[in-house]
Amino acid sequence: MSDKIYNRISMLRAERNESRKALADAVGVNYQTIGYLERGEYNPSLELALKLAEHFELPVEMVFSRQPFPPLSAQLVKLQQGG
Amino acid sequence: MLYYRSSSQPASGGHPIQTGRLRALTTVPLLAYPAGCIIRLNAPEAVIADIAGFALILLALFCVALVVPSYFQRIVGDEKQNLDEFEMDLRRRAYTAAYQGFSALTLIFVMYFGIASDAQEKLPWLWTPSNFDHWNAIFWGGFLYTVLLPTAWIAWFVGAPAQEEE
Repeated sequence: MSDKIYNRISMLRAERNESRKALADAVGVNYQTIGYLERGEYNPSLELALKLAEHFELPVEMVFSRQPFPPLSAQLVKLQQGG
Repeated sequence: MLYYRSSSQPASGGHPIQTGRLRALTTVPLLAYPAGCIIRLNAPEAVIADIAGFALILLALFCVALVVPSYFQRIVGDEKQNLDEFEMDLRRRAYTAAYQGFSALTLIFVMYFGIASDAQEKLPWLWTPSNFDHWNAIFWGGFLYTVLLPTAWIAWFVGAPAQEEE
């Protein structure tokens, strides 16, 4: 069993007000697969991970990580404190 | 493998069925079909047993008819080019698990058949298939299990698809 890969897909999708279906069509998968990816129940192939990063116009390490992403609120506090 | 693509929704990803219901719909036929066959074949003269056996077999077929257009059955039975990488991975795992399960059941049956045949004189009450009806029931049971075991594995061991939470 491979290690869990964490991702920000649901947050990025919500930011863009994009449906699972629209995202799935953009990267060429079934919309239910996006749901499994968002819940962390499936680790995507390198090709799919790169497609998703390209779609969100972000580096792949900002979309996927081997460590859990810190909450957005904690990151905002850190930014305000000049961290 | 069986999968029915609705003509009204040719591009759909399979009919969504709640996971709990799909678990029941895939498990009931796996139990009801052999139970129905055993009841019918062991009491060929009894009308009530005949009807009860037929009812269980019909129940199994009815459940299969409901499973065939489902999303999980699409993963098991649709053409490869219609599946994405997640669905192909799931299909591979489901086939592997189903192959192991079916192999184990076949091995158990062969061992039982060998023992029951060898011990016919000492243990005449051990049932063995002996005519066309018996082998016919076993053949269609094997077919049913090969169709449903991968779907049953997905229903029991994989989380619900996303649309159930939306």
